[in-house]
Amino acid sequence: MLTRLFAYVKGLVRRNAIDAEVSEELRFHVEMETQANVERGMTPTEARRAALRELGGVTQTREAVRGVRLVFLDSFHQDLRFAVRSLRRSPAFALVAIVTLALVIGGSTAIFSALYGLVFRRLPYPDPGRLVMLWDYNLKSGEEHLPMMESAFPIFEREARSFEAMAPYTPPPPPRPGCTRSRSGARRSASRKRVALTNSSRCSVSLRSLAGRSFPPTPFGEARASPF
Amino acid sequence: MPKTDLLQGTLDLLILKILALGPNHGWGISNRIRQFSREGLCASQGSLYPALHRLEMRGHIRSEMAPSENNRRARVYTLTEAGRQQLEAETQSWEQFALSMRRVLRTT
Repeated sequence: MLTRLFAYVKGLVRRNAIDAEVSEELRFHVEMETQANVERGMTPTEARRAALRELGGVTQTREAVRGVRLVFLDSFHQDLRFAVRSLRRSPAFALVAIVTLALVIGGSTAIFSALYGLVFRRLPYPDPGRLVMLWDYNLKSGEEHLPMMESAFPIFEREARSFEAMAPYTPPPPPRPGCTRSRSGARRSASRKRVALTNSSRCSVSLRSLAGRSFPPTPFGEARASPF
Repeated sequence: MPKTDLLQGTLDLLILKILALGPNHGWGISNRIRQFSREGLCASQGSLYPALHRLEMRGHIRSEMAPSENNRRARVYTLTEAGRQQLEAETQSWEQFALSMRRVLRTT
């Protein structure tokens, strides 16, 4: 179907050029045949006449080739016109078809955009596969994915041997309910700036801040990282 | 289109087969058909070129103008992937057809 479409477009655009090329193609054929006939022992005149006779008339053949191309162009043209006519005859069906296409294309675009952000795009850090997040859990209640206690971090940092570097962060407070859209948007961008991340000297080698400024390493308990 | 289905069918098959051996121009194709059939088959030139262009419109072959042996530009035809599949399918159905014909004709 697709190859036919390409051939159709090519045939439509290059109609005149192809006519000229067919003439050249047939002239080439007559020359080659003449040459071959001479090699078989004919005189040049004889050879040329035989070659032309075998071709069955250059003009006739050229017309036949043009006919073949026109039949194809016409049949494709008819298919197109038939499709348009059928759609116009049943506008409800046409509408459903168009809306379906629009929804499906829109939907898959949306899904791909989401997947692209979540799955395909690499995190802006070197070797993102080695980034992990540490959580706490409650032995008694069995609750998982609890935030860690601030006071526990220095112990983890001192004792853990599996990590190249560690850094704690404080998530931004959730936006207040009831905010108007523009205000909550402004709020969110303001609160994003307040993600506090203490720095560890080794972290600073591999992580760079995407926005805002980074700060010199400070022991976690001593001085709270100032909001930036 | 004139109704010469069988003849057109066989000529198309012959062209696809010759082009499966390598790109060639019209004259080369007709020459090869003559050679390989040991002069038993001769593609009438008046039907060869329409057949070539028909195959191109169907997407089974593609063509480009290329310089040839005697310093002239020739239209050189190349088999496409669709053409290769078509060749396989047509070869099979032709062999089935020939076998069936032979079976009928040899019945005594």
